[in-house]
Amino acid sequence: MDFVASAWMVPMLSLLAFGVVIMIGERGKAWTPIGSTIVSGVAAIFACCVWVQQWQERSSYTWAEWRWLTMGDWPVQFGYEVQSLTACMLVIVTMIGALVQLYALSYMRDDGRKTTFFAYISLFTCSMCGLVLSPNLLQLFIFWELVGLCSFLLIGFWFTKPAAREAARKAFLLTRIGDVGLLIGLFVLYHAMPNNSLALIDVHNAVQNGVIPEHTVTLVALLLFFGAMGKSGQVPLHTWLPDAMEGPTPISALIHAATMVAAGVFLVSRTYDVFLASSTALLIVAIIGAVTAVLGAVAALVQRDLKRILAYSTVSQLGLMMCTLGMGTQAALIAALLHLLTHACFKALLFLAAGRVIHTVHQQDIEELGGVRNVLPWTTGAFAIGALALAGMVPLSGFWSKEALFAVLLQGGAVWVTTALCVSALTAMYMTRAFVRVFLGTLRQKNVRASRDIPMGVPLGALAVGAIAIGWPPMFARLGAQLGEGYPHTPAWLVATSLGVVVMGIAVAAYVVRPRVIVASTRARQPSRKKVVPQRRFSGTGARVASILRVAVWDWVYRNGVVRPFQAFSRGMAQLDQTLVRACTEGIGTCTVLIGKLASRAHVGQLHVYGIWSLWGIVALLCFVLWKKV
Amino acid sequence: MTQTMTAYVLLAALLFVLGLYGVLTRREPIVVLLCVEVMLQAVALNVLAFAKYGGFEDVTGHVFVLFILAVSAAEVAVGVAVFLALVRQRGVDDVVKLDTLHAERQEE
Amino acid sequence: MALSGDFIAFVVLASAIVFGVLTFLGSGVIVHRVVALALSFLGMAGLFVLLGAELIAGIQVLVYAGAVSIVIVFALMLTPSHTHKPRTPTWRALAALVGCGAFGGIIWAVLLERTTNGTPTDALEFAVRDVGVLLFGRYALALEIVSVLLTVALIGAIVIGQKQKGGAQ
Repeated sequence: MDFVASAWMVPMLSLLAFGVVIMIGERGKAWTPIGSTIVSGVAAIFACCVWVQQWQERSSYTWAEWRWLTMGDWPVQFGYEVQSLTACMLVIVTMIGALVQLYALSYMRDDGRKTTFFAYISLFTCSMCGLVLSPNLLQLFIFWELVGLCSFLLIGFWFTKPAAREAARKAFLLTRIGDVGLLIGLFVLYHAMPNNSLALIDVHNAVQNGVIPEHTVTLVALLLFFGAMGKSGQVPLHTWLPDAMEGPTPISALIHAATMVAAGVFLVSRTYDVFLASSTALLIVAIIGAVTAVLGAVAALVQRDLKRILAYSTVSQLGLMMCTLGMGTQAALIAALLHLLTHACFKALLFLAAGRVIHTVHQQDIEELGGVRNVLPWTTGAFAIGALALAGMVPLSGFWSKEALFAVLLQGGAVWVTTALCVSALTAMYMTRAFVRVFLGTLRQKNVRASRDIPMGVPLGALAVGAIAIGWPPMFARLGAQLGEGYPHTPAWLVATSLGVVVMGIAVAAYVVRPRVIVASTRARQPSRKKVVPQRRFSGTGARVASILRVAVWDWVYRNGVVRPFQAFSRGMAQLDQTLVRACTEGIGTCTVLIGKLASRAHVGQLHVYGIWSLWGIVALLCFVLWKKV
Repeated sequence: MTQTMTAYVLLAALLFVLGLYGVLTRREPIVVLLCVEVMLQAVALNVLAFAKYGGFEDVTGHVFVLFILAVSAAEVAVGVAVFLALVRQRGVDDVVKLDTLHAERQEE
Repeated sequence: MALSGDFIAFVVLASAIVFGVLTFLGSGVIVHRVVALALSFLGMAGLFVLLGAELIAGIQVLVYAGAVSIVIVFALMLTPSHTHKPRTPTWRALAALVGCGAFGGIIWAVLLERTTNGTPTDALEFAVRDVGVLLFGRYALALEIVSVLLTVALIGAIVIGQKQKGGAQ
């Protein structure tokens, strides 16, 4: 069977699952979630087949025949395109989608709107696959918006919580800002392209042949990047991502760690030719990526909420990928994508492990947590694997992809690689902190019982295996080879340095953040007084400095810099509307009514009046004719 | 001779306008009907004047006046019948009251 | 215009017609008005004679001065009392008057400027015969149609005018 040519099956399966589940509704809550999970599993297996076949045959397949509509001479054609990058993304999206659905079977077991949740996840998987497979930018944009919609729906899934509502709205609006930039970019590109084509292959050719003028390319690249900034949570559009943690944790794992937030990186990768043609755009991408990476890492260091730590970590890692993409080489592309794939794997693992903890202990403030190790030993192991992979510890997958990043950044300049090493150290620190706080020490909560939970355990195990297995050197090298030529090689000293930095980070954090051990007798008497001193030392002045970077600050800036003036402007416009425009419209209305009344007065139904009117009409006509003749 | 022709035509115009005025102002149906007849007479006079002074040795104008007379006779016959029906069945003998097309009055 | 016999006759007849029409429009008693109109119809017949249309003049006397007037008088007699109607609203009469004046003025001006003609056609001695030839020759179809029209009108008048059962209020 030609899997590559029938890759359209993957989104279609998810779409089918969505349609069936949403239509059956709550009546089928006993079995539709399971069915949906099975369908997504089938889709994942199918995607794996596509990936393997693509790997073996090194083939790419494009089918873009379906003509949606024709605007003038420009046909809008839809279809799908399979090549190495899309095949890898397809696997990641469907795999994590399937595992998250399996996980959610348990996590959402008691939720009243369970079927809706599964329908949304299926819709999201479908949209994301459609986005990945899009052969042209217009289709990509449509699916781009669809995943944004799914993200909105799922962040606000528990819409009875005001915080979730706010977060959903914020996420929608902030990503929308980026989307508008992307849309304008598409307009500009459409205008600039010689034959008005938005197909990626045409864009590739046009940029390579230098058909589009330099400054237009820069503009398009920046606008595309603006869209990517919104989706991928780059500074200053990143504030929605931490707030998005109000959604259910499986969603955080799927959408806000592994797939949708990676769409921005994916977009930049798919249109990388445009960026390569503009050094200005590349520099801006690199700077924003670096700033985001540092800010995200610092912010992650001072968070108390476990999920928000992970969210900031995601922001930081995405910034790292963007920064790498800003180096503008083929190796940069490969390195960024490799990190995207491994990051999707271990970050989903971390979120699912965190979800398991939250689900069991019902607490996500790390200052209130501790000693979860005793209750959930396997989850502790999974989290540790994820955290080490994220920190970049040999021989886990994160190590290899980060080495590739460092190699590329080293070619780009010392500044970049130093920044990346700092971020790496910070990463090691905040992950250590989180791990120590949550899993070591003494459990504070009482009556915590963890039952064996297979739907939750299997995804954790699978992702942990993935986080290790992708890092298996031959596997990783082949993955790099599949993505393209020029897989970067890291000098040995850099490997050593980065490992040293990671170890140092872990050590410092482990020294500073001591596990919180509470003696049983003390706890019984005075549970609240036993505060641990080292924590203070860590989060005192540093926290104060770092708090500048927190969400609240950005919110303040947005509120006073953008929202308030805009509201004032809107109020002014509303006043204008209430007075001037309303007067105009009502005047028109009144005039119409008056004319109507006059006209109805004219229709008295009497012969005489009609006759007189006709007579006057004839007189007027005669006058007109005679006047024309003279 | 020209002035003779003009005199006839002007007389016809005067009669036509008088008939028109009557149609537009009188309230008795019979009178309105007869005013229409006056207008038709004016037209007939016009046609005959043209037949005589138009410069053609032709009596087609006379034929047409015959037709006009026939049609107006038919009109009078039907008009009087309508007038009788109106008076008998509705008791209306005033053109001003014939306004059933007007919605507000119809409701009354 | 030369003060010929034709002209004197024209002036007299025209005066009679206009007087008749004005009386018809202005008088109070309905029967007087109809009689005045019959007078003007007779005057019109006289004008037709002056224009060399003796046949039409005869028909005019028969149809208008005779039949139409009689029918109208009968119709008036068959209907209940004819009280004097109040005048139409002034503005309406005024509008009609001004409109008619403007219309008449325009026609008058155009006629005064435009009326041209050749010599009077005096060779109409056999007008009656010529009319007959035309009527039954070239205009035979029209004649038939007019006869059908007359028939329809008469039948229609009978149908409309008859007393309807239970229709009278």
